[in-house]
Amino acid sequence: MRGDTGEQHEQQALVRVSGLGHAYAQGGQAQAVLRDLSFTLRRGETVALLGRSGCGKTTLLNLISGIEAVQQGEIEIAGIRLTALDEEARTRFRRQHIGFIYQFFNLVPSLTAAENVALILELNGAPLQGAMEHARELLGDIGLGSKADHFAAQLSGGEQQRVAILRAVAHEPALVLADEPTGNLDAHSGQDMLQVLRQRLRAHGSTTLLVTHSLAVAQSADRILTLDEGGIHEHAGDFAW
Amino acid sequence: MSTLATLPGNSLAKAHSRGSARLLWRASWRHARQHRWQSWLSVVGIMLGVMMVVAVDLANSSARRAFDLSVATLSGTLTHQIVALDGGRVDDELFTRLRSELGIRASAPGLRGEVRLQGRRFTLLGIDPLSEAALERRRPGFATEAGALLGLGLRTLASARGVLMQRDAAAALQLVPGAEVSLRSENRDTAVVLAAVLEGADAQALEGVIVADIALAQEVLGHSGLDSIDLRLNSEEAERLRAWLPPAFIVVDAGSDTATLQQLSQAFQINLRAMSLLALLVAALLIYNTASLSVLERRATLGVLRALGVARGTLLRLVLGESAVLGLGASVAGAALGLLLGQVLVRYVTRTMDDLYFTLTVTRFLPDYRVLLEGAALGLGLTVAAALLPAVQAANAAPITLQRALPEEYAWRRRIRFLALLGVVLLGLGYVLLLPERGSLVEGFVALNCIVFGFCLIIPFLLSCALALVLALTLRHLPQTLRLSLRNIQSGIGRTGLAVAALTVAVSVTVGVGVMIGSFRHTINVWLEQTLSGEVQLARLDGASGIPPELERAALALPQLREVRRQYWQTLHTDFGTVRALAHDGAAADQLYLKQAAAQDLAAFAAGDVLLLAESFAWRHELKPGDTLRYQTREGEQSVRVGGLYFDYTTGTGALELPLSRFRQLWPEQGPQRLSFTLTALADRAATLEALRTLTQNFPGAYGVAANAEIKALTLAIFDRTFAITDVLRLLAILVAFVGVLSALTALQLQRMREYALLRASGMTVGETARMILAQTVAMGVCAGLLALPLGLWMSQVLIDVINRRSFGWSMQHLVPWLVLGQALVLAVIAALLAGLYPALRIRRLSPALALREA
Repeated sequence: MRGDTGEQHEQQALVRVSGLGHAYAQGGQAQAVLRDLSFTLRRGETVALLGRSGCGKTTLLNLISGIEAVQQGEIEIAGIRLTALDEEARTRFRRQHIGFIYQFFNLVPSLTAAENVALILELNGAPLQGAMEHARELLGDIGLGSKADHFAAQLSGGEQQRVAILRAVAHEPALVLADEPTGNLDAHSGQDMLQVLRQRLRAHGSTTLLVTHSLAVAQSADRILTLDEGGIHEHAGDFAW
Repeated sequence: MSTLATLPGNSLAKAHSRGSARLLWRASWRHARQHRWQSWLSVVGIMLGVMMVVAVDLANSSARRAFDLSVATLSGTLTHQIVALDGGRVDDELFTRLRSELGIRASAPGLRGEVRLQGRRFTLLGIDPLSEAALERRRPGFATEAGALLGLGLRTLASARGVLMQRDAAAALQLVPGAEVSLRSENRDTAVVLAAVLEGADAQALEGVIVADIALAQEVLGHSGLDSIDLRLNSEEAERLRAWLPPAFIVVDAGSDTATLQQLSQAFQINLRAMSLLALLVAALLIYNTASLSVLERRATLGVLRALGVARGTLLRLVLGESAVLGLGASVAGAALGLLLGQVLVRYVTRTMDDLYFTLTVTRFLPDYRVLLEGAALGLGLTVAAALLPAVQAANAAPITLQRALPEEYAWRRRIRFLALLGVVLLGLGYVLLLPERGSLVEGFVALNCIVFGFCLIIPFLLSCALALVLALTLRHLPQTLRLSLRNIQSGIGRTGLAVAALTVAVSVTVGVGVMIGSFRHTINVWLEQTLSGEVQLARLDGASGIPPELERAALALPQLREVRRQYWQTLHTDFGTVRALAHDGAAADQLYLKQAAAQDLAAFAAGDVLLLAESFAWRHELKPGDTLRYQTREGEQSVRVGGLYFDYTTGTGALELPLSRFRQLWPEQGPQRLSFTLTALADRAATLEALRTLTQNFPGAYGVAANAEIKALTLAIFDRTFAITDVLRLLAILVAFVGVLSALTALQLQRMREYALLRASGMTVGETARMILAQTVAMGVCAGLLALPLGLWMSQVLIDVINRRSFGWSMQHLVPWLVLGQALVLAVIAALLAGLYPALRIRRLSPALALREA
């Protein structure tokens, strides 16, 4: 089923997924994870993606971000067909236009908080000094200015995740993919994190696809999609896991 | 439909299209600093490897230049030489006739001999300045030969008893022009005057040379006549000269004999170089280990970077760049240290060349600075090459979202089978390369490397199988710590296998070289026993026509001596160059250490019909029993069939054994050069030697008297001196390997700290955990030691039967010194034990809670 069909919506679409299928080889046999998936993500909207463990949520994020190559179907982001890009081009595309937030923060341990944020800017060609100044500004905005020169191991889980969010959005990507960003945080830190994320997304007008197991997090999104049995459904009413 | 241009984006980030990723370098630098012990060990390993290569290359190139310079100084630019067919002197009169009858003006007399001045050895070079000017001979040290030497020569050499010395050599003896000095030659002193000192760009070429007028040189050396008449001829003139020359003389191409000597000494140098390269190879394994471990440790970080959009090429360059920085620093430091070590090693190399091949007049260190650059480049190149595979692994790191919990080590279980297969292929290749009886030395070394590498690649598989077997058979009987230790080795086979392989290679070098040297020494001992007949030797040292019969009779009249054997030798000009022709007055089987001679051939030898060839000479010129050898005699060319081969470990251009009857036909006036006496039962050896020495003083000429035991001791001392450099290199190779093993094992243990913390948290005591770590490293040491034995023995076989044979033409008996094998095993265990000490000590300070939290 398609999550969105209107012509106006089509024009506003940033991400268009059509006929997407994906399988992994397991014990010499192909195990389908995604089957004929089609949906769109509009510019500026936040979409929550729900689904049971192992249903293919992370695989879907990997495919949209170009980390994994599409086996079947099409993914278009801002009119660019990912299937037409080779691995190198997909990597450059990801670097410039996509931000990724992970459950386990994944900060580079040998870089400070500011350097972690500046890294994505530098990778995109910004001069180091300018990138560092901008990173410090961003950290100051979310109350982590005093921790700018701290290494990951010197930050709490909540602080690490807030730095990770800044790293994902510092280059103002068109699309932010978040894979259970609150999954490793307590309720309070999770709320803090979501607040920071919303602020940043609002500031840049980025589109967000947010994988979560948390209903509270999902309900804060503009739309909710559920992934089940390899297919995707737009959620319209109450649901329970 | 929108395009990329319409996408939002940070203006700062879009300012440049391609990033320099300085932050990635910063992260790398911090990672290296956090693991500085690992970085330092790598630096030390590469530094030692480069130091060895540079030092050996510098020593070799310096010795080679000294050799070339010595040859050039003593001979200069010649095309031909006239020498006496019997190896004796050339009459002065022949030189005069050559110029007057044939009109060959481009000729000069050649004369040189060994003298001592204030106890130091010099080569006395006799020259005739006028003839030198006509010959236009160019020699290093004589700036403008014809002009300067003529002027200087006429002025100073013609002055009363004047000699010339190099400035530094004279200064070292505190001599100034005008000083009266005494030159000693064969127990006779001659007073001369230092007329002038020689200086100039190539003056160092003359540091071991004293130049004198030819007549004064003849007086100092105590004989008339010349060594040679040196010529510069075209082929037409050479033919004309050959037709004219009296039968007692022969025209030879200049430099053919020194070329043979050079070839032999080069083989010695190639052997040294191979050993130094082996050390660098071990250092490369170390770099590979460090780089791969660094990549493994950063697997998650690399995955994050990949997910962030860092291109594969960037990561490849990053890891290669890290290794290049380490390699560059270590290579530069290694080259600088190599310069220092080279100055020590050159003494060993020049002494060996001096002992075995050629009297060098130049012994100073003559560094070739290109070697420094080459060594540093080799170190850097090898470092980058060794880091290539880990760099590719880094570039291929899966983005973090794709990384599975599957540890790298599981992948190794599959890889080791492939590596083992590759190892078998390499071993097979090495074996095939060794199959041909003849082949180049380089092929021999390629084969040796194939065998070492092939064996290395099989080790992880062998280790894995052996551990599986041991664990299966002893599962219920092993204590828990030992069982865990063995399981740890097996589960980390990628890393443990590499560490065991590195240690195996290092220890096998000790075994291989140790067995080779032991076998060689044993063979030399047997050869000396076989060839030194009698108990006391009396030899003529001045190369004249042998020991006078009166001296022999007087010696035999001594009551202590009861029997004598005579040995004769002369120079023989064969189709394969100048050789030393020997003859004995006993049966060949009693006098020679025979290698290949059938009974009928020995009978033919006794009848004077065949000759026997020294094995090394036969090998070099591909001669075998049944072939015919041609040589020049006064009566013209003769040819004799080769009847057999005998072992001979003397160095030089070659040797052969003639039947005594044939020798006497060729040189009827030649007396024995050496007499071997047997003592009577009650004779006192020391008193006999003294009596013989006293006796020789009544006869003209220079003689040497020595007991067989002294000769054996001296020969073995020269042997040990020759291999002293090998021992130095072997020790350094082991040091490099030890650093490698220490790095690999320590890294392995530190990588497992979380696992150990878990065990500590589960109730294992500090002592139990430390014992488990030590048991693991000791078990790896035992495995490496055991694996090193077959590899080392195989290596020794290749060294003995292929490398030495192809280098020198020598074959030798195989002797397995059990002590060497035992030492190797102990060395491996100690190296492994030491490597386990640091992690075992560190575990004492490890807080289980903290370690688990950090992880």
